[in-house]
Amino acid sequence: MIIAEGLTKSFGDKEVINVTFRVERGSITGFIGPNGAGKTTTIKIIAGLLRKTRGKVEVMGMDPWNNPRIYERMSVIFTTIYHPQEVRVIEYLKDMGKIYGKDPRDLIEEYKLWPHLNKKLSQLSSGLAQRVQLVAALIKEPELIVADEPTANLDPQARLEFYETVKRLHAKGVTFFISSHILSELEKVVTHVIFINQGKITFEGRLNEALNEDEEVIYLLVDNPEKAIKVLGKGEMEGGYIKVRGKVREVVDKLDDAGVTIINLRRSSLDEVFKKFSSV
Amino acid sequence: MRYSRSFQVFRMIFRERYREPTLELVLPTMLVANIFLNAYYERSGFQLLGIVLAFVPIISVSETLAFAIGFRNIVYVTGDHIYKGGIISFITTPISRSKIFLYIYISDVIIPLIFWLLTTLAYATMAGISIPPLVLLTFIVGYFFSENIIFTLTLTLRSPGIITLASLFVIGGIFIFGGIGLYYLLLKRSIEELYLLSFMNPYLLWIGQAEGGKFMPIIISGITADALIAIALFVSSFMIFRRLEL
Repeated sequence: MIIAEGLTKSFGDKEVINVTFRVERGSITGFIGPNGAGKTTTIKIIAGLLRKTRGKVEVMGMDPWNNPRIYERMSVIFTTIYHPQEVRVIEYLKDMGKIYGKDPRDLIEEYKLWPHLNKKLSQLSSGLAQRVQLVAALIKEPELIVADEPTANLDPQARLEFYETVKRLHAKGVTFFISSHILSELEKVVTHVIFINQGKITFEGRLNEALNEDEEVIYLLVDNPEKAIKVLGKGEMEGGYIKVRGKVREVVDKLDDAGVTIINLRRSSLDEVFKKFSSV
Repeated sequence: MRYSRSFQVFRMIFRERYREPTLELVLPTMLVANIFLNAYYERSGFQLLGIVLAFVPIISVSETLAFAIGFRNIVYVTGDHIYKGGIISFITTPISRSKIFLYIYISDVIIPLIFWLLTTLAYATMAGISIPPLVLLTFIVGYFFSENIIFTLTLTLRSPGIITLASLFVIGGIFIFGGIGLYYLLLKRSIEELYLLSFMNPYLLWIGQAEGGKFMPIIISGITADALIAIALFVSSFMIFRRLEL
């Protein structure tokens, strides 16, 4: 769906990104990296808003720069709505509907926007603005949605709603390329991950490949932490949890044999992988 | 009836600039402001001088209004959209950048000029005043010259505040210092040098012409220079917009 090969962007003499990756059709790919890693620059090139300096970039087989045909099949979502803020919600959605020859009323109904149609875009809360933006993006029935930090300004409830929508659309065949910092929620929906750090791709693959390691960081909540650490011969307290590195099966077996009850077990998440691939 | 996508995008761009009550206020004001045309024409004893004076920018409220709307559109609508990113919404529609540029240019620059032209011609016709086509052309070309400078500055500088200041300095400088220079050269009767400065403020030459001078070739050279500069600025704006990174 998206191919980047030696894709480079420089501002002046400074090379900001130099990346190679692929986004598979039908995937939900998380694009993860620390601030300043080059996520937004990459997404803007994919969206046709920035021009590449060198290399190859293809979105659905086409170069996105100055290519209006890609917007027939691709929608771009940002943290905020990039549209004149004096426009009312109803005008915005109707205009988008007219451009693509679609009636937005069903989507307005589905996303419960009726009470807000006469509000100006500038008057919307972050969550509502993101819902409006999502509806505007869906009007054209896109095959690909590229989202740059779409949940950055949202409260947990709105974030959950957003990712529920992502799952629903993914089931209908929409491909997603999402950059985000809120990894605990992202990892529940993504099928693939691409890590970027200092303008370079540090990992690319399926989510299970990113998480699957021989030894991983495990967080344990047990009834007797002191005994558990003694039995395991390693580990340290982090809050109420024991943080230990090892194989899950071996750790659990050891604690079971010693009669330590495991109340909760948390395996390594994207957060740990993020730290690893971001050299944090 | 379903209009084309291009038309829908044009309609969005147009509506952004002419929301109610812009047109309701501007059109009648433009029409009525032409009262100065009668006044100057009568005071000059129905001579060319009256028409020329009534057409000098700033003295002519109607022209000033057209210029102000163009300025507002370019700096505080297009410039603001570029500065705050609102233009991304238009760029990511399935319409080429060339068309979007054209629609923005038509809405920002050409439509205010059409308002001015229609109201002024309608008023002049109703008042029975025959305006020499070259006087009309002087303002039209000067309008494109000034607005295209602002357009190029907007696409280059991006920040509305900086563009406003830069535009005032550049256009004000050309018009005021050009006027002073031309006045000095007119008194000196330095014809060759008049040709050089003629593009900066042809109205002064028009006043000289109305007072019995023979400055028509210089006026034409000034208008031609203005037109060439305006075309060059239009082309450069188009090139900048096509390569605009957001």
